[in-house]
Amino acid sequence: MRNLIAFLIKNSSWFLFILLEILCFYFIFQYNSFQRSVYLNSSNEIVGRVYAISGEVTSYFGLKETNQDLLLRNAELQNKVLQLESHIHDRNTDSLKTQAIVLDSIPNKHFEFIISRVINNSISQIENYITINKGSNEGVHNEMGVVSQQGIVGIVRAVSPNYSVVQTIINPKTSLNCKVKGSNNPGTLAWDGTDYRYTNLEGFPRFEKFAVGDTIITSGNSGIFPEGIIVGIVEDSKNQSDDNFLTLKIRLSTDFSSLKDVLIIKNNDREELIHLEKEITTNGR
Amino acid sequence: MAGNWLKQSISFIILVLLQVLVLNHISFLGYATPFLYIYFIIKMPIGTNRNLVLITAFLLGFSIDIFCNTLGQNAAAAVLAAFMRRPVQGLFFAREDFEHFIPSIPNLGLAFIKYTIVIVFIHHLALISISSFSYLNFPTIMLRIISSTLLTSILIYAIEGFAVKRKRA
Repeated sequence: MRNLIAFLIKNSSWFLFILLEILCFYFIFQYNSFQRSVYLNSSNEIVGRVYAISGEVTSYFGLKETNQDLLLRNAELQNKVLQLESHIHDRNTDSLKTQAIVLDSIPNKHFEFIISRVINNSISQIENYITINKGSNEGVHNEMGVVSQQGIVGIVRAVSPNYSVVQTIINPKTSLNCKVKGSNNPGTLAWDGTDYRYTNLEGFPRFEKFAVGDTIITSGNSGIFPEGIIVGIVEDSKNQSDDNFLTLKIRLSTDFSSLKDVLIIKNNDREELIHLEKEITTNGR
Repeated sequence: MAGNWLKQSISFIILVLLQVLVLNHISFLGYATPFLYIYFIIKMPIGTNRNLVLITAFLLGFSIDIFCNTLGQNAAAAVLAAFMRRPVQGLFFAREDFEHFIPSIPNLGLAFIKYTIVIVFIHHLALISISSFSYLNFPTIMLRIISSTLLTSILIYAIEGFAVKRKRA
């Protein structure tokens, strides 16, 4: 017995080492599912507070660029307003057409936006997440889409009262239906973990026409994002192992290295959609 | 002794904050990210109880993990590096002669440089393999490990060089 205790004490660091490593790997495999690890992670209020302070400081660095972006965006929107106004004007003069078009007299807002600031950003990891400073108090829920001024950003994966964690599209766990603008065949967006400026669109049908420089947009199939949000631009294409499909290399329009302000998309119809789809699957049995 | 503890705790906190707020955002050429927090394990006095080093490494890695949403990954790598500390030190210098020293360039000279790069390499090898083995192919992982090891080591030597210069002045 004494020998055993002496043996244990003599080799205690070995046992401690093995014990700690087992604990670590338990965490890695057990908590890999993101949802379960939330209470220990960065939507956790304390960690969120630390990131908020640092975000407060770093947000001053890019003011000039942000301002420039806003001005451009503003001009773009102004243009659109003018176009729409003239469009409406044309419609109104043709009263017959107006009757045919306006079926719903109550304006229905399908999508609303919540403005938020990025307080922690990661691009160097394999699985990249960002933390933003709006949470359930402001009406953010799981599975909401997040976009920036330039394009798509990611999907909300964890929410605490004041903060949320967004799984970005530069994360191999994210897959998203996208299509080439002007066509209807969706492919799946999947990041390969190498360069944060590029991503791949997989499963693009070979017969479908496209050109380098074409815009890739969201397909709107998921209900998370509306159709037509810009993802990026086709840069290159290569054959997939399966002969009927191509993989397109896409330059992302969102610059993740300098992400500051984002918009969270609230889909007012999402609950209804989910409910409806559930009904079909249960009735189908 | 109490002052030493306080000093150690403060440098612990500073290293964690530096890592999660600044260094984690660096992605040099899309491959290299410095993981400087391992410097804390490298700099613990040579005679420190081995179990204490292991537990400190676990806490250090775990703190980083909480901030990075990577539960367990940094902790596993840091514990491995802490465990390999003693054998690696044994490779490059006689540990008995330096029982009460903090490893540094003035104490150990070239041995410190070798000791640092080996520990950093072990840590990065474990960390980057764990975090990306299911996503990336082997050459990319190796490139990441080697470039990050070089970056972290250079950072550590720079800090060391700075400390030496200050002492002389």
